[in-house]
Amino acid sequence: MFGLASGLYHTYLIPPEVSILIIGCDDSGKSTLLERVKVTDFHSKESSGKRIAVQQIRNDFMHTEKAIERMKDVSPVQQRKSPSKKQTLKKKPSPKRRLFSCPAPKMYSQSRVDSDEETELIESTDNGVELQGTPKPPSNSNATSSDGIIDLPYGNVSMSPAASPERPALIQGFQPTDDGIDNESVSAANCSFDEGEDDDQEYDLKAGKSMFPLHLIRPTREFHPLLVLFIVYHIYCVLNITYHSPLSWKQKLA
Amino acid sequence: MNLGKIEACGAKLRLMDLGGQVKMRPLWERYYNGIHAITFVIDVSPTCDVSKLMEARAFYRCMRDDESLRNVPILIFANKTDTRRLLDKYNTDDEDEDNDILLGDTSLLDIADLFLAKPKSSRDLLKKLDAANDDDNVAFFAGSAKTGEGVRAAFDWLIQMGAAQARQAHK
Repeated sequence: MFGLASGLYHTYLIPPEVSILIIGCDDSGKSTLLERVKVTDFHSKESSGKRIAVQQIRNDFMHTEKAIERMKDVSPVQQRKSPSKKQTLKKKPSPKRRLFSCPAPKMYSQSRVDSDEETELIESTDNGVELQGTPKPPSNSNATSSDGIIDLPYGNVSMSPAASPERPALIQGFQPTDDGIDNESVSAANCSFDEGEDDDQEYDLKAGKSMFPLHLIRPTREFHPLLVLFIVYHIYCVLNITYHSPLSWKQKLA
Repeated sequence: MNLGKIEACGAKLRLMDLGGQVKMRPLWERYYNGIHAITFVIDVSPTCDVSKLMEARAFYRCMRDDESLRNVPILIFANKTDTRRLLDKYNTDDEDEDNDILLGDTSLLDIADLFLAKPKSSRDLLKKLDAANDDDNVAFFAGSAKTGEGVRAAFDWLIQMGAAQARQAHK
């Protein structure tokens, strides 16, 4: 009976032990990834795990494809530039996010300013203002507040006129409206997230844990053969001296 | 080698992080036995060399075709995506100074394409991506270990697959 119970326990209830190997070329961040996994919070709500990355890539892709289709009438030079600017975020894709996480719209915004786009941008500014009102918690793990923090810098980077210096003269007519929207969103971003640099943003951090300091992570190395030899020799010497040398020295001296 | 032991998603994880230097790479094969899941980390920061990525791909191919790793789920983790958002900081001037071809703003889709398959057209690529994530046990995730974005999604998938693999191996 005990055998049955323990068997049942071992087959169904015991957590499986999973061995995972982390490999990759040097300097690709394996040790950092390991340290990150150690402090990542897997238990909290919203485990939407599976195909987020692919979904995101897919979204980006559809977006650019649509844009390319729209741009087919315009010059081929711009087409070549088009798919280059692309950024991917690993989170639940929402319509707002999609706009920011795929800022390829350099030419997308040049070609025509959609009514959709305007409304979405305005929505985002509203979001920023709301966030500004509510004090944000120090460790925000994928709550809605973190969305805003990530999004706005993106919009900032991609859509400010400085980021895209070369604009064809053809589409200059659209620029005023475009810029007007930009300034709004940028100013909202600036006033609400002054100290919140997106570099310091961390995701899915376990409560009360902090990441192993990055500068302490050193390349994972094997033992150097000379080092091994030295250690062995050292041990050999120490043993020799303590157990044999006194006598032998005396004998030699005598 | 660095070891990490954690509990997540109802499974005990034993993470082994091997050295990545050229000298150490032949040693990887020795760890393939009794492994339930593999994470292959690649560097997709804009300052990364393209030749390095191709090198990684060659090793990835070797690993994928290994006999002892049949049915083992493989996660390809494109690391350092946080540097990609600062793309404007890396000007093309640096590229001219050293002769290496840098990754620059190559899209993640292209990189995924490099590792996953060789489709004919873009439509096929989407199908391949779906197929790779649904049927096969290879997935391509992007994220950043430094900031932690994308890590949870990737490892949620990997742990799920790894736990299934571990149960199968136990039987």
